[in-house]
Amino acid sequence: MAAVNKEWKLESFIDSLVIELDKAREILAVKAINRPLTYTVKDVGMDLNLFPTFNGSEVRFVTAQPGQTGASKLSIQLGSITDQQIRQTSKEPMTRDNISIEAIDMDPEMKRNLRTMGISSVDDLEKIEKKNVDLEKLGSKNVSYKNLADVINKSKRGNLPPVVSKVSLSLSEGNPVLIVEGKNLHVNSKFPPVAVVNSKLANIVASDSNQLKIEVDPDNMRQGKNELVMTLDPYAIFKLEINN
Amino acid sequence: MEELIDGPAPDGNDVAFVDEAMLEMGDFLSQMTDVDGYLVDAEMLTALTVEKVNLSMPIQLDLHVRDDGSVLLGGSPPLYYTETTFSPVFHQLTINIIAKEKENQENEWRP
Repeated sequence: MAAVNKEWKLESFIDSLVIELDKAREILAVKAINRPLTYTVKDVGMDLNLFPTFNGSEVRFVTAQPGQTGASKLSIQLGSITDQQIRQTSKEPMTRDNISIEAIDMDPEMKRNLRTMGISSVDDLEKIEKKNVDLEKLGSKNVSYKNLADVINKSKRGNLPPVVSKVSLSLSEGNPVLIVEGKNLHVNSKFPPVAVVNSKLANIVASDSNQLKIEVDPDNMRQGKNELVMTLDPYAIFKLEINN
Repeated sequence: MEELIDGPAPDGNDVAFVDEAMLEMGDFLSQMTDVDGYLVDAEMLTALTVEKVNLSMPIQLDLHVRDDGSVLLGGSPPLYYTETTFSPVFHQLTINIIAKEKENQENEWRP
């Protein structure tokens, strides 16, 4: 018995077709080396018999099977364009410091809303924010810059996890100062880090990506175990146990 | 080989190859576009060159959807001509091929 056709996305189909056409083009280019007269594919079209389906969020297609009638026809035409046209009509490739929307852990509906608006990366979003576009008025009820900034910052923080390599205690003007060293400690200037030593707020005298200096009340430092809770920003919180 | 012939059901498994009766779309297209280009008549001492070929033909598709959603595409010209209760589904393929000056080969088409 023949297998039932599976649903596919138009994007996947075209991706596959383009890869296959590139392969054909490469073979033609190799053949061209030894031939005086060579040929090139100017354009390729394909008329497909299929049934579109809609699952509430996206349109997919199922190729018609033998015996099925009433199939729709989808025509795909791939023409040749120059490298200049590609540059004019395509987005710039993703850079290393840009983050794809796909890679961010966010509500699928929000992700779909962004994709519908042609936003595929954090850079796209920042460009739209600069133009003061109101996303909610565009029909994206659950998309706001605040919500997005939160998920994006969380994702960015995920790529830069804090690492503590050393904690030491020294005295400065008679007060004990905890020095926390490591990597990616204070990376977001919008959020000043907050330190709590033995359940009491401590004063942070200096902070950067590699070092934090925390001034502690001398009465608050105990002999033996001390607890330090650091909130570097809303997305990076850690707890350390320090033996004095 | 969904619309073609009997075979093992690919459900749940990634399929690495297209049906053995067909070719991967890239190989199929490269064979369809393999134009020799010269028509020589030795007796008449004339030769013609082909400038362009417009090809439109029914094809059978072998379309597999992998587990990651990507598509594996195979194709062939119609494989069966015998009339049966259910005919295979034929899709239409159109290819326009043009002769190229050799020095322009570097600027070949790209979709």
